[in-house]
Amino acid sequence: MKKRILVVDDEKALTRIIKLNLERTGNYEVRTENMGSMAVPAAKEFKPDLIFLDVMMPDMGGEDVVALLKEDSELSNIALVFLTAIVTKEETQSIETDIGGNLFLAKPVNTKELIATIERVLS
Amino acid sequence: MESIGRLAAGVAHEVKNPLAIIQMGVDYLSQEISADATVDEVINDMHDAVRRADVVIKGLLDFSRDKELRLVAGNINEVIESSLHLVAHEMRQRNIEVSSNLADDIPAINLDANKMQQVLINLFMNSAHAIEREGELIVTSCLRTLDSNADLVYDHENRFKLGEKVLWMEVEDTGTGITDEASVKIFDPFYTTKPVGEGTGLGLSVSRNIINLHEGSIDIHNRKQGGAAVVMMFKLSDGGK
Repeated sequence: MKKRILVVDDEKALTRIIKLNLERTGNYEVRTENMGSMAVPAAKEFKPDLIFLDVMMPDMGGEDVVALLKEDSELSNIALVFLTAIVTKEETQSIETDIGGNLFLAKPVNTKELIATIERVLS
Repeated sequence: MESIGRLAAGVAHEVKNPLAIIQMGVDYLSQEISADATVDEVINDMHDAVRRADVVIKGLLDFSRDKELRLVAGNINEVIESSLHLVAHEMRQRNIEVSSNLADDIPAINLDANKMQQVLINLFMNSAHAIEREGELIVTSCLRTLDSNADLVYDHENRFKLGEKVLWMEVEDTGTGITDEASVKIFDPFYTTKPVGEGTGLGLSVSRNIINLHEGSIDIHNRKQGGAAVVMMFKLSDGGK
C-alpha cells in the first residue's frame, strides 16, 4: 500500500518536483498545498502518513500549522517533518536535525535524503 | 554586523528555495533522461554546482552569525587533538606528517570548543591545500611571555602588552606560503587563493571572527624555512601574571 505524503510549501515549483520525484518511485501518493492555511483541511481529507511542512509561508507559518494539527485529535499523530530554507547554526552542521520534537530537513535536500527520512520516520 | 546578518539570512532563504528546486529537478531528470556518459557528466556537474552554492550560503551565514560563543572552561590541547583526529584521514591521503608539540602546563581557558575546532580544522585544511602532497604540519601550544615587540606584531587587535604571559598557539606547514598580496587580504571575506569552486574565501574571516570573540588574536606569516605559520594568542584567566 502506498504511503500518503502531504507536502505544504509556498514554492509551487518545489512541491511539484517533490511530488514527481516521490510518485515516480511507485511507493508514495503525494498531495501538495501551497498555502499554510490549507494544510489542516488537506490533512483531514487526504489523511497523510507524513507531512512535509515549510516553516515560512506568507499566510500561515509552519509552527502555527503544527499547533492546529496538534489540537485536532484526528490529526495530532501524523508524522511531521519541517522542510525549510531558514538556516540555523544546527542546520549548517547536519542535514537532519530535531527541533522542538519535530524533524527538520534543510533545503536544498535531494530525493534520496527525502525518501530516507520518510522511511525512517514511518518505520 | 547585524545588518550583514539580516542580509545573509535573507539571501540564504531566497537562494535555498531555488537551489532545492534545481536539486530535485536534476534528481528527476537524471531518472527520466536516458543516460549516456555525457548526460551523466552534465548531471554530476549540476549536482556539484548546487552543492557549491549551498556551501557558499552556509559560509556566509557562519560569517554573519558568529557573534556569540558558548564559553566553558576547557583545555585547548584537547581541542587541538580532537581537531587533528578529524583531519587525520585527509593528512594521511596527502602524505602529510603531523607533529604536535603541546605543552602540558597550559591552564584551562574559557573557550567555545566547537567554534575553536572549526577554526583549527579550517587552518589544518588550509595547510593541507598549501602543501598539496608530502609535507609537514606542526601544531604547537605553549605558555609564552611576550618579551619582544616582534611577538606583538601578531596582535592586530592590540589586546596584549609587553611582558604579558599568554597562551600561544602556532599552526605551521611546509606548503607554498603566502604572497605579499595575500598577506594583506587573507582575512578579508571572500578572498581566496584556491581555484574556483574549491574555496568560499570565508574560512579565515570566520576564523578571525571566532578568535576575536575569544578576545584573542590571529595572524599569518611566511616561515623563514618555507611554508606558512598561523600564530594565535589568548589571554590567561589569571591575566597572565
